[in-house]
Amino acid sequence: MSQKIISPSTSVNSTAHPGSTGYDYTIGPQQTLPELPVSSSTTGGGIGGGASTAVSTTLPLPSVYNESLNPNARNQHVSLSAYAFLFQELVSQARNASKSVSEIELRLHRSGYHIGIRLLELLNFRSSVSAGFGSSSSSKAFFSKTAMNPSGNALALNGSLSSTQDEPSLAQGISHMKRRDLKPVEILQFIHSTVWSYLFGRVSDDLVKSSERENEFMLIDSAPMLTQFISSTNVQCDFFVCGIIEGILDSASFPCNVTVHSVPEPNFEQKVVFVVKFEPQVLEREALRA
Amino acid sequence: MSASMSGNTASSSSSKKSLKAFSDDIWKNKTAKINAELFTLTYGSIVSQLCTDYERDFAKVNKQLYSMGYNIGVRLIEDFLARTALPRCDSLAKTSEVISKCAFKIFLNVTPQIGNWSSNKDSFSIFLDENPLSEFVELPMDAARELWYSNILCGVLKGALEMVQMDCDVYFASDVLKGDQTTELRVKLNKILKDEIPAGED
Repeated sequence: MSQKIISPSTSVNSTAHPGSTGYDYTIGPQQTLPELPVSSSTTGGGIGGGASTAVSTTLPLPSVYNESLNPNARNQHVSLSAYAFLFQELVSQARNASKSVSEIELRLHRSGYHIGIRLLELLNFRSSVSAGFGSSSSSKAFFSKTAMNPSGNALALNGSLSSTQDEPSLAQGISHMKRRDLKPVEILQFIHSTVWSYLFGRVSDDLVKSSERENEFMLIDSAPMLTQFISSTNVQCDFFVCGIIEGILDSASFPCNVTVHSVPEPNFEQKVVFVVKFEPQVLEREALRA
Repeated sequence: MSASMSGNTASSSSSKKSLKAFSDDIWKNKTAKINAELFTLTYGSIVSQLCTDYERDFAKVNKQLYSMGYNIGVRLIEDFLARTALPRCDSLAKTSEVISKCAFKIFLNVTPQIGNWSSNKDSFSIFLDENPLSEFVELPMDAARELWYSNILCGVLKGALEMVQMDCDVYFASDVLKGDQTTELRVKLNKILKDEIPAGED
């Protein structure tokens, strides 16, 4: 590992230290796949190609960001049973690694949490991409349109970004990022509608504010999708969804604690209520805003 | 309950193969669906948790993913047969076709390519052009050397094939996440398990 930490020149050859990992600010964003076929590259330049070798590989390796951040991703569904099988393994994995019920639930919660912190970014980013910027053909049309009509500083930024890419970057589809949700009610509505629709194909059944406690809100789901095949009530597997909610709220700077409670009703035997309990500082901040 | 159909990009090209049309129909009309990205993210969560649990001993992670997949496979075949009611395959070629055009289609909504047959026709490769498990994924350097990120698929195929009396070795030969050109899953038939058919059944 002959990794140079500080490099005085920004024109440093990116292949000079092949063992480097992580982000190098002197180079900027770069492909981090190991031994990307630089050696087997058929381009004439070989190793000396500088920054371009990262892109000009023998196969057009799609950027993980450019492809998957696109709101119109190609393959939008898998079968619910495939998911149920996977979820079952997630639960049994958590069970095998735990000694108590609360530990299982904690592990499920943690798994969901990691999803939640990614989802907030992903969904906000996608909703910032202007409509119509989808398939590569329409994105090219979009690109030429903005190129003819250069206005705003976003274009200048995008132009420099896209210069290294063969296809136009997704960044060109974004004129401004969506405003962040600042109030607890707003972010909860975002979860109630946007997140729920994204995850489960429908909005959640209700969003209520607790009448007893100022800092408590409840999200109600009459027929939880992920746990519909789980009959045991010893372990509340919906803690996974709690984790997702808490991850979203935490990364949106609404520190809170989310728990789930089973509330069976005659028609909805699996009905659950997610109780979101904000930390006191969230309410304090709200009081300052008012 | 079933998710909406919008955005389903099932190819509308003329379906010459009846098996393809058959699977498309099952996927379109008889399959409850869920967001593929939730699936991707959940799997990612599982893998990263395993990497932490096993202190980045990726050989162990591979093994654990494989055994999780095996557990899924032995159950999944039931689901698969119930949905499709397909008869027993008479050759490995037929099996491979059912796996790619039918099984992958109705569970993961992808149709991988089959190829690279061995000369004695006892092993083949599944080329995953799209892999719903590894969307969004970039492996860190240490993981890229050893980890087979989608190893759970091997276990699933192993378990499912074993339940239809086919003893197979299933393993990844290459993965685009490791910088390879293709994602190749190798299936090798060892033997047909004749003895394990319960009495009174064909």
